[in-house]
Amino acid sequence: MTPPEGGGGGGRDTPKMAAQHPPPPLPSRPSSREPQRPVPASPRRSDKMAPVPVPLKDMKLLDVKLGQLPTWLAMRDFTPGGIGGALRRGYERYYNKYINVKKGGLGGISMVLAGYIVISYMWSYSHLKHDRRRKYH
Amino acid sequence: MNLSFFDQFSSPSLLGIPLILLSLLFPALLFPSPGNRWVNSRLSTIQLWLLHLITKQLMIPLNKNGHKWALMLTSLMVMLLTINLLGLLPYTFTPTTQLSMNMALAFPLWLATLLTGLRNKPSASLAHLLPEGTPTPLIPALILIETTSLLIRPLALGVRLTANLTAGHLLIQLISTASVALAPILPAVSILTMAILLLLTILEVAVAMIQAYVFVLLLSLYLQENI
Repeated sequence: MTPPEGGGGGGRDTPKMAAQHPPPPLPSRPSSREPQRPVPASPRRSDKMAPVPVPLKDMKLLDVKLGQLPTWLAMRDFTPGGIGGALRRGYERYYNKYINVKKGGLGGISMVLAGYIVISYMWSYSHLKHDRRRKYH
Repeated sequence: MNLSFFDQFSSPSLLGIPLILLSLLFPALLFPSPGNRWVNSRLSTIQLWLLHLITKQLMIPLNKNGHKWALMLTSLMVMLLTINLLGLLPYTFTPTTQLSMNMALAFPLWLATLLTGLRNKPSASLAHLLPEGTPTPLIPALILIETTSLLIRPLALGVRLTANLTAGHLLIQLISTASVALAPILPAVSILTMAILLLLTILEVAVAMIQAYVFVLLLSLYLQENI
């Protein structure tokens, strides 16, 4: 964070706010904003608030232990509405992190374009694999 | 081997889903609708500036009645522009290289301009079939020619876009194949072809933008005659 300068940012906001707008509250997963790891190792955090155990249903994939994975997967919402909601949540997370920020750059868009290239490559792999420059295949 | 140069123009499908669906939906993802703030972010400012520029360019020659078409023409321009430019990324599929898709864009829009003219001011739009001051013996022939040129317009619109995009993609693939094939045997010539490839890529970026503009500009000219 840069220290606040006089009249920085065209007088719109303090540069402290320039990082990003806060994402809108997500109704289904209220605890997904911060990584809530179940390790109460840091004393700085633990004196503020006790680590609330997150129910397995609301845990992020990165926090799920390997043994809990089948249970976690079974608890996911695989109805069309649930899948749509997951897609929308993912889009909003991306949008509020990279696009809907004051000083957005090329990073977010380049990421999407790179992903598009990779997906297109996967999609047309069955065609492309015949174009290798080898003699015998 | 010869067929594989045209392989890039057939939409590959994975699990029965053709890639053209993804390439057609992708532009919608890249242009988010602006929020309720006046000044959102750099990206939305650039987007708004671009949309404003395009709308202004297209709407200046049209009269008040034609301004109803602003949404249609601007979104068509943005869609074509995005699809053409995204198609230049490697391995991606370009829907605008398909004649069927371009005709599906060109024909209804052209017909809409024609029907608008015939309904709102029939005599003026029929008068376009004969230029003023034509010598009397030439009138039948000229009417035939003008009618043909009127009816051929959607075909020309669609084919123009398809041919430009297809030719560009083919040229890029031919030259890049040549430079890869020449690299082990004639490195100097390969460097030359790579330089040509670089210049051609710049040209293709320009062509992608210009052809999107030309498509919409011609439509707006047809509209201008009829409104």
